[in-house]
Amino acid sequence: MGKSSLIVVFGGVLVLYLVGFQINRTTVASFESSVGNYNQFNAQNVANQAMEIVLTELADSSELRVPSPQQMPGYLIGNILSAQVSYTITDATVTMGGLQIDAVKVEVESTVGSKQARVVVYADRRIGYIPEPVRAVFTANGPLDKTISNMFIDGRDHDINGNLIANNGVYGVSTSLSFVNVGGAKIGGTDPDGIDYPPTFPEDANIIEENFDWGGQFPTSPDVVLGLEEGTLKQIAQSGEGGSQYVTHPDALTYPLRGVTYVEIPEGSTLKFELRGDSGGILVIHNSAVNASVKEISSKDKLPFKGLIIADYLFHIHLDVIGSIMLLSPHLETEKTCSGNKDKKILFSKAALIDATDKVSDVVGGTGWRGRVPILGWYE
Amino acid sequence: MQTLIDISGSMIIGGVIILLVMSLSSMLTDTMYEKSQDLITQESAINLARIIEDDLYKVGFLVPGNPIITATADEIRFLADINKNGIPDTIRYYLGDSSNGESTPGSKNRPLFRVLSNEAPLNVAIGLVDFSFTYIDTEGTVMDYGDLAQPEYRALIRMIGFDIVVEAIDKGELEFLPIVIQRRISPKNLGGWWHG
Repeated sequence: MGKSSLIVVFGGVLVLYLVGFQINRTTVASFESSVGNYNQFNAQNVANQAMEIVLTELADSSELRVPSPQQMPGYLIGNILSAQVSYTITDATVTMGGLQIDAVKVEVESTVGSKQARVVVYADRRIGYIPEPVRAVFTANGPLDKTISNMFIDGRDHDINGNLIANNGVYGVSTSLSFVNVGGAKIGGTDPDGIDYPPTFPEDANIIEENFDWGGQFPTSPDVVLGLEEGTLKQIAQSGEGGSQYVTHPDALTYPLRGVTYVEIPEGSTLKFELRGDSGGILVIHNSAVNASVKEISSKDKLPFKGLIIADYLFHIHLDVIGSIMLLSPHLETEKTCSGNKDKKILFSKAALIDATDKVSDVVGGTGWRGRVPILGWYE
Repeated sequence: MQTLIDISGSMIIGGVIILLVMSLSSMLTDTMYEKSQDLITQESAINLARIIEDDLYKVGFLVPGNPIITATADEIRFLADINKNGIPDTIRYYLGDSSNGESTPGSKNRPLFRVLSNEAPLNVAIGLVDFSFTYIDTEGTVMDYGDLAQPEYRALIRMIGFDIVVEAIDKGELEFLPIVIQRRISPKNLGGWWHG
């Protein structure tokens, strides 16, 4: 009996040991699973954080390329759990919306413990931006009632060819005074909540910004509109970079317009302006007294201007525009009436603005990458 | 007489020890089973969350315009070029009927199907008993499912949340705590300032 009891006791102890071992193994596996999951999260967070750092570098230097993996210094990522991070910056082409787009591909890989995470970002190689004062497809500091006339004005976003992109636009009209659509223009846009309103007459009040308080900060020069140091646009135009031109009379221009076109009309002059060809970029019509006056602007070839027009005073806008118009003078037309441009369309387009501002983005200041690096896709 | 007492005493003590060992063994076996089931349930829940997260992070990747096509409590359908081949893929998650899932005592399992473009639906959930998507707008407000039937409201989605509750499939007579995971994903391709 004594032996049997001993066998039973030892057998029981063995069973206890095996069961305890199994429980311990399951507990360890459970713990390792939690730790692995935690590390995976950290690896992903570190990779995203590192991506933001690399994008900031890229925003400051759009020509930066790192073709082979480069280790990121620990102090930049805070040595989080001894994370190791490497990155590359290369040129690439991506297809998006049926278009081939030249892009910059940024890849970041991070390792935390035994877990790895990879984030890939494709940025448009054109490092353009949307100027902050562009609040609407038609932005002004003066009365727009007469200037708008009976045009088709759409603040909803469009691609460079004028195709609609939903819920991504701006106001139809923004003015620091009151606005009455006396000409019967069809006006649409996107309200601040991102809701689109197709152009109608009468227009929806949600896409009209009246009496906007600029706090005395309404830009009085094209450089301020673009966030540049005074004189930068004129300097770029005079340099001829990317087809840029500087003239004091439109007749001296060569077409199509590209880059920065700076037309410095002498004070007191009023003239007509006829564009030709497939023109685009940044068109500035301005003088230091903010009274450069264009009584009629049109396109001889009936092609839209693609980009940003910054002018002191415009009237009789017999021209399609894909991009945006900004009028700087507080003294816009209040007497005359224009009824001949019902078939003319002013379509807001972020893509056109990015194209246009690409030429000046290298000289724009600021910190961080948001608003300066146009992201096509973020893959994590 | 002394021998008889020794034998009786030994039998009683031996019997008690045998009962104790058996009882302890049974208890430990239950604990081992419970631990194993907990681990399996925990891993099922985590894997399910990872699968959904991996897809949600890619919402709108290389897709111009608003990529979310359907947004309800138990279904989401969106576009993302996850193959990077220039053609947007459609990814759909939808909660299936409980009759399609394995039953567990006290509750019903639900299948959660993932459909990639034209491929056949694949159930990615094991032991799922409750699931829902939530959508959060630009202001950080949880959006009304009724509004999300309209595209202009779906365009305002900036974060997608999902709540999952997973239970052990084979519970037997034991009590298990369900694994609850709540995630809020902010897909970086949503609401970008350039979609052109």
